[in-house]
Amino acid sequence: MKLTILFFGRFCALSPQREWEVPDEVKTTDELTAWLSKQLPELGQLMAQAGAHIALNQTILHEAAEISVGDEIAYMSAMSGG
Amino acid sequence: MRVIVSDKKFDPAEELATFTQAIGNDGAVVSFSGHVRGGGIDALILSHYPGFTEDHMRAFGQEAEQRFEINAWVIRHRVGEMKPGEAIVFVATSAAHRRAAFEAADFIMDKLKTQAPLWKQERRGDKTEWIEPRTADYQDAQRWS
Repeated sequence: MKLTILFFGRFCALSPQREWEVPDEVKTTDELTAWLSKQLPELGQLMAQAGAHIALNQTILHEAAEISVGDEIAYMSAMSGG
Repeated sequence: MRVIVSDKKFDPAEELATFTQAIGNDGAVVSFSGHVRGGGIDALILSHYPGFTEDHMRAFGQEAEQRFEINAWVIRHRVGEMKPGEAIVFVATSAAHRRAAFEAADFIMDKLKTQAPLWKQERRGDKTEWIEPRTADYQDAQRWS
C-alpha cells in the first residue's frame, strides 16, 4: 500500500522520504507507527514526547484510525507557534 | 479575511497600508507585527505544513470574528530562514470601535503563539535548537478560554 508520510518538527530528521510502500497488513495508524518504528528506531521515542501528534489527511487524530491507499499521514512534534 | 504563509520577506507598513485601504466604514484598525529578536541568534527557521497550517490560521481568524465584533482581519506569517530584525508575523483587525479590534488582534496572536502548526528552530553559530512555546505564552492563551 502506497502512503505519503510527512515528518515535521523534531521528526523531520528521521527521514526525507515522502512516499512509502507499507505492507498491506498495516491497517491503522497505530500499526503504521509500530511498523515505521522498525524502519526508524527513534520514531517511538519522539512519539512519546509531550505534544507529539499524528494527522491523517490533514486532520489531527486523537485515537487510532484506519488508513487506506493514498492517505497522507503526518508525524508532528509539539508545535512551536509563530 | 485572508491568511498568507510565505517564505518571502514582507514589510509590515505595506501590509498595514493595504489592509487599511480595504476596511470600508470601520473606525478602528489594530495591527501587530512580530520580528526576529536579536541577542545572539544568527537565524530563526520556521517550517510549516502547507495547507494544514493555513487552515488552522484561518480558523483562528474565523473564531476571532465570532467572538469579537470585527469586520476584517489578516494574518501574514513568514516561514523559512529569517535574520534578526526581519518581520515574522503581521496581524491586523478592523472593527467599528477600538475595543473589539484590540481584543481580536490579541486573541489571534495568542492563538498563533501556542496553537499554530509551525516548528521553530534558532541557529547560533553551528548549533540549531528547537524552540517550543514558553509557559507565559500558554498563560496568555488561557485568558480566552
